[in-house]
Amino acid sequence: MEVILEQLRELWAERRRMIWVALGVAWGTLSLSLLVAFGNSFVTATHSTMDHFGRNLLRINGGSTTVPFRGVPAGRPISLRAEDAELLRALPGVADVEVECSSGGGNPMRYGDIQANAPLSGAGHRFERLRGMVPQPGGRFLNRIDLEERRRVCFLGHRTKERLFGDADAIGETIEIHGTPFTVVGVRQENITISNYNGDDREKVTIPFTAFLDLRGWNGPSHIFVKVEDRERREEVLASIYALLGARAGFDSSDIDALYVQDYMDITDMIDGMLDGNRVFNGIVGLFGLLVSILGVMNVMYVMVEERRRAIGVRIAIGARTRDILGERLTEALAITLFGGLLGMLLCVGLFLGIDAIPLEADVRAYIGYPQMSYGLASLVILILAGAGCLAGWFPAKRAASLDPVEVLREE
Amino acid sequence: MTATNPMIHMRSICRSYRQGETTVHALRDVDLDIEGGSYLSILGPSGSGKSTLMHLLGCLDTPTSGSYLLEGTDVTGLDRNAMARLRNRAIGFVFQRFHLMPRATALENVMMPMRFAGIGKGERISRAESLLERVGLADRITHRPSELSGGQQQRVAIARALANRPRLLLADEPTGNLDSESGKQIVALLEELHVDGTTIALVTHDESLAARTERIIRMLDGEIAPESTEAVT
Repeated sequence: MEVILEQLRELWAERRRMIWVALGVAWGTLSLSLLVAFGNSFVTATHSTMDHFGRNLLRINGGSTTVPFRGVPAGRPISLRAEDAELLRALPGVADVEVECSSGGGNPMRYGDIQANAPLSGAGHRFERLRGMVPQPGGRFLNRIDLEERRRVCFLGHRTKERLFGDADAIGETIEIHGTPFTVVGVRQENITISNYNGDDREKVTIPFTAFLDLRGWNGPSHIFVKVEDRERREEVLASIYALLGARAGFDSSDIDALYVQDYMDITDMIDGMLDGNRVFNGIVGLFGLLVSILGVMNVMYVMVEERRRAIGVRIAIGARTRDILGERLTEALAITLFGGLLGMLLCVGLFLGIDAIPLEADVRAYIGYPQMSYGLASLVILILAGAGCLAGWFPAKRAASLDPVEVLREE
Repeated sequence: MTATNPMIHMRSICRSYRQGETTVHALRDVDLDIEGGSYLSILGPSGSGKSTLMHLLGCLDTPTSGSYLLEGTDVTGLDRNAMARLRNRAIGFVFQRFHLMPRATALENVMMPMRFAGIGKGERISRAESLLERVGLADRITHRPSELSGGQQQRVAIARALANRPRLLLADEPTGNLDSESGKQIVALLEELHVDGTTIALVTHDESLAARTERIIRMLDGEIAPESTEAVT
């Protein structure tokens, strides 16, 4: 403690110079903190959009065979059936299954005089938790009875709701879909999903799967969503799916193209890889910024060693060991670095509070999230600063500790 | 002059430096014994080698050749840190220009060598206060060097040199930067310390100061001149 106070006093005597050096470190710390915090926030926001879509999902579509099977030549189209969902649900490693019929954006909707086209989906009630179809307060998603009674009810993406109803309440109102009346039972919460198929989830109108078959005259689902319990076992689950559907629909279970499988875990893995790469890049850029300011500290420490040659030489003459001199110089470097670093972190916190206060579009916010100075980030930055401070002080300290007291005393 | 068990025992000490293409022989084949508790001066003109001898005596420097035993310990083979430890515990230095830490108080300056010796803060404070009282600066312990006169600064420097109770006190022109009155006070203080048993070696070119010591070692061209029996008690 005595050494620290002594070195702080020495620094205080050089405060004008030290403040500029500390501001340089503050700037470097600010850059590093901002880049890492924004990187983290972007990761959190992106994971959130993945969660909105649903995790550990496989989307199974019918394909066509590429190898003959039991006397039937290759090229036979494979169609999925609603009953397939029940069979798949019984497979080991499968957490949940739901069917869906989906058609793109050209489905006419009308509320009174207002018309719009939107993607249309016919889905089961499990979609609520499987695909993140979370309703806004006051409404609900489709339920089992809607399915069983083939009710003409619908669940609106929030953008379609805004187009048809504006700010007015849509729940209980009737809209026409392809000229057939449907009652609005819920509106999807406003959020972004990482992946969309056959239209944006924010625009998609979902009706009971059974009602979709009645409305559009389809015979079965366009695809089936399968949620696996453990992403590490997805290959095993996929093999079971091919075996089961191959036996039911009559194709070779090794015929990959008989089904078209969209593995959303691959997409999330790829995105995670990109996010990790982005984080590393941000960290490196931030570290380089900090490094420049640390070089400034190092330079000043060298200058201070030169200016205090006599004081250091006298210390050595009266018995200071190498570690005493190293300790004194490192304490100074650490003090400057940590002071500048804490200043930078405070500026960063202030900046984040400012950013939080800016009213951003929901879409923008969904991607940048809420960057913040978390304890983890603060600990990381302090750790980096401590290392940087030691680095900045080490070489000047080594030079100081190696001063020859005889030479210094002769300089009189 | 030889002794049975001298505190300092130097034999065939040489110290040379490279200066560009030439070699400067600062000390040539010096033999020197110093008894514990003695009070001596090293006298000589500039360039005679007296400062080099003091640096070697004070373990600030190592000889190019020869042997040096300090209290029976061969110091020529010690590494940098061991030399620092020896200087810190066994030797006190008083410099012509005092060399106090300008931003530290008198008390903190005196405490510094004790900190390097790893002495606890409580003992450091009490010992430093006692030393400053001994050198007549009990009322100046919170003063910084810039607030003290030259004589007072040198007294702080002497207190600092005595901090770790050294057996050997080396003073390089201790009165060289002082007015005559302050110089007298410092000499009186050194003589008091000698009476108390501290071995003191002064480096000086002041004949009158040297004449007050028990023994005079005259240096010329890197060698010790034969000693006369002149001494003042």
